[in-house]
Amino acid sequence: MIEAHVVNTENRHLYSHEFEEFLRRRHDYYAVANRWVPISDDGLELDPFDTPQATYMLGMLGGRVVTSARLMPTSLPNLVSEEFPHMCENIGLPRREDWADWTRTYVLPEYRGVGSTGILGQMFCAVMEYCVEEGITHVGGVLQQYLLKRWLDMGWKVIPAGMPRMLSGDWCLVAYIEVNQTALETGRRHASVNRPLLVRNGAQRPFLEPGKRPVMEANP
Amino acid sequence: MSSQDAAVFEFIERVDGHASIDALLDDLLQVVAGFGFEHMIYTGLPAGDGSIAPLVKTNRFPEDWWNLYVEGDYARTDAVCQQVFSRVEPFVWDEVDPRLSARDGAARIAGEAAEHGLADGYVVPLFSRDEWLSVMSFGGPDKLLLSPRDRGAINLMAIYTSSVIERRERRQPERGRLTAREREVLLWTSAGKSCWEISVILNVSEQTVRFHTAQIRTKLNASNTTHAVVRALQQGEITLGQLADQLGDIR
Repeated sequence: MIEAHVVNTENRHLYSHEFEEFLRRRHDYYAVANRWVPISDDGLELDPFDTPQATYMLGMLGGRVVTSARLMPTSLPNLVSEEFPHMCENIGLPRREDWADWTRTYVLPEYRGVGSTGILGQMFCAVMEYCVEEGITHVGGVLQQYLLKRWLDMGWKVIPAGMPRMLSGDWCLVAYIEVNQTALETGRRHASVNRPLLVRNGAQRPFLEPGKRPVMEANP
Repeated sequence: MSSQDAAVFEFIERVDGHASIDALLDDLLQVVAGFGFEHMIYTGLPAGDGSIAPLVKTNRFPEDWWNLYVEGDYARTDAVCQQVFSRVEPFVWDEVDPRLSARDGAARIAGEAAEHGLADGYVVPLFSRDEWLSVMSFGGPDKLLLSPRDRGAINLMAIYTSSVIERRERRQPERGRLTAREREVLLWTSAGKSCWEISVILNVSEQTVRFHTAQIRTKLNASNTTHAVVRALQQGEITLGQLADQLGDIR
């Protein structure tokens, strides 16, 4: 089972080697294999959304970064708002601190398995776990259409922001998952994850400003 | 947003709220009627020599057509079905690879389909929850002119509907899942071990292993070991990864 290390500006110095490895594998996948982004000279992939406000989850297995995720409040410029706002005709472009834009999730090819118990399902659980802890209410973004079914199969309620469209040869859409404890539980059951996967080392940067977190139910 | 788009998003909103799978399919067929469809099927695709019949999840194709399709083992020759094995993108039946539709028997099947009210259609390939290659296929009596937007809308409805169907069916009482020991026996069997060898590996009597293999075949409704392995994969009882691990162990 992976460990999903939460990394952001506060604790990035603890992960300098892992973070570079993450950017290098991102480049292999997004620039070299899929040509979704330009090749870079240093072999690292960075885009305009790798800002100090981004939170990363590095999915580690046996000392390697085998999967990842990047979350960003939709109140800040994000992949959907800057490149695909026209794909939100159903619900309009989300711009809220507690709706997170989710990008950069894939699994290293040699770690891709078959079935619901794979690493991708574990990363999905880690993202849901983080969102529940941080008070995020919805998480999503632009995704390939076949992944929508993986989300739904986790027992998750998913809101399509718009119709699927062809983007460079792939059917893609913008969609957001409703975050809650039930979703975490059904997702874990489906992905055969029996424990929390998040690891938090060093100082943490809350996703939402403390005053903006939804009020948790008070004790009677 | 067009009224047809609105109808599609409204369908998605109520997709999980139907009293039964039948009610869900009624609703789906009503919405896709706006695109020219009258029939749909959601089914896994047979690997190797298997029949398609046990893989069907929900079926609203004309009954007499489907009986012909199964009895004639049309899946093996049907160009639409064969195309999904080579390209996992949604497509209109009419756009099927000409090399597949030129094969012996393929044109006859397409002709017979048309006689049964399935002149054209649209296929959305999907992976079932247990990662089995499946399709939701929609058909109607006329040639289709689907815009990219129409296709996106049908893809979206097919994905949501398929996931609801699988989650609902999962909730129903199961035929009896394999026990951990049965799974172990099946994996060793698939790695080519005899009952006697498995009895040594697991430190039980050969008779016990034979009992387990009989139980496995009954639970999976399989006629032999190969069939049992295929069914177990389809039903998510074992994964390809486990199978590969087991095969790796004996090399």
